[in-house]
Amino acid sequence: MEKFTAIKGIAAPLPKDQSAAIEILPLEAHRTLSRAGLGKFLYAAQRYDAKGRENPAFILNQPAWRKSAILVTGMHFGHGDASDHLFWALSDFGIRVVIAAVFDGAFRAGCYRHGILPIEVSPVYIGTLMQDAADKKVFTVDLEKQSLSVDGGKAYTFETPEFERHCLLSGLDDIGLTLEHEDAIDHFEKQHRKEMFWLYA
Amino acid sequence: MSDVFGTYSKIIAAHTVHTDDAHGTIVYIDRHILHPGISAQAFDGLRLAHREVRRPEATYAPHADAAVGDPVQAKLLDTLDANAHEYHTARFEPGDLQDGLIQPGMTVAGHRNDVARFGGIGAVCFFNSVSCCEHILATQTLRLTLPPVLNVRIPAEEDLKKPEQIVAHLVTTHGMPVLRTHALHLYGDGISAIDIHTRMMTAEKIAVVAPHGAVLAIDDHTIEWLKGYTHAPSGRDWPMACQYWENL
Repeated sequence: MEKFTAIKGIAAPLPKDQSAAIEILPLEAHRTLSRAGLGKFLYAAQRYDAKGRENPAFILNQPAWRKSAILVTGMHFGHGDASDHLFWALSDFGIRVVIAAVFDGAFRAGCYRHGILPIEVSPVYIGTLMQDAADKKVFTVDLEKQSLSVDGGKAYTFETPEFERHCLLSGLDDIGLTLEHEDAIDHFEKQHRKEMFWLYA
Repeated sequence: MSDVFGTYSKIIAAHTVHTDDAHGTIVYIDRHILHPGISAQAFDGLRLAHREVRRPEATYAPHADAAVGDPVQAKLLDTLDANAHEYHTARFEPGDLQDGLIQPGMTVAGHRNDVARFGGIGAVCFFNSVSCCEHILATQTLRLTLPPVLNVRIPAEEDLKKPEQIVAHLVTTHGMPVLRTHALHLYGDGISAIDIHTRMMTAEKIAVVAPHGAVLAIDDHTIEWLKGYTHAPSGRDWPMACQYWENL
């Protein structure tokens, strides 16, 4: 997993509450064999017309936001069945930070697991950020300092659980985390092979 | 054999690599059964992260032909075939899993449709998602928050002889919320009284309502059933394996 360093850039505003996971990533994206390229399915229903042509009005199709690494969105983004595919698609598109007023637990946990930083800000502040994003102001997210600033202005501090912060900063995914105990696995396997040798026959 | 301490808990204890209150328990997986629909993405993730399969010889890919005229299924099976070759995993033929490849007292991971029934012979089965599959490929373990175990004694009664009767009994006596959140361990005269095939069907049906699945107590019938199958322990291994099973 890529280490999370400071992220700087223009953020994409998606001012909508209650975006269900299935709305963000349609079912057909779950049938592909490879996770590379899933980004093109993100918001497919709104990004493309019936013939598969891009809808130029949709925010992620506009030149300024095509490469945004930051999303600013409403409440309960990604609620419902937030599958691995959803996070792969977000990552594949290039999203590293999602800013919202309220996250559901499953979505938040999925973000951390896939190297995406969810930032919860107060509902009062989200409107300002949404406007800043629409005005193409530059967002800076620093996980080390847990701060968010717009156009170099006053920093807003956010909180990330210590363990999840450690994993993001070190680029540790679930597997990497388990592999921190690789010695324990080696040791177990040696004993197991000795005691239950028939399993290794 | 099986008592109130529970076969499930004993098998988990025999496969626990590391426990950590905050980040779950690392459980060693004896047999990993790959599924075409899940494994493609998992191998993809492995490749993206430049990781290897930790124990290809304990990782089993099915040898199977796609149904004629089903291009999606054919593509999935081709992909799994290519991955199995590239990573040198073991292979199995349809039917092999029941040929002693999966044994009592093992930890097994795979798709629910493939592995859930082996709870009936006293194996602990985990049902894979893509991320579980990738995790096992890379580490031969799962990291889990272990579910609480519900130990249920099944009495030998005439109306508790069929899988659906046992499932209905569990639903009415314990309720869906409990079944959904617990791993089940079934033991008692009622289990000894049914044959292995019925036990496997029972475990399979329970897994539909209880996502953590069920383990049925191991007894003489289980061991007798396993004996002589191609992949069952043989020679001097057999009595040692019996000793392990009898302690579960």
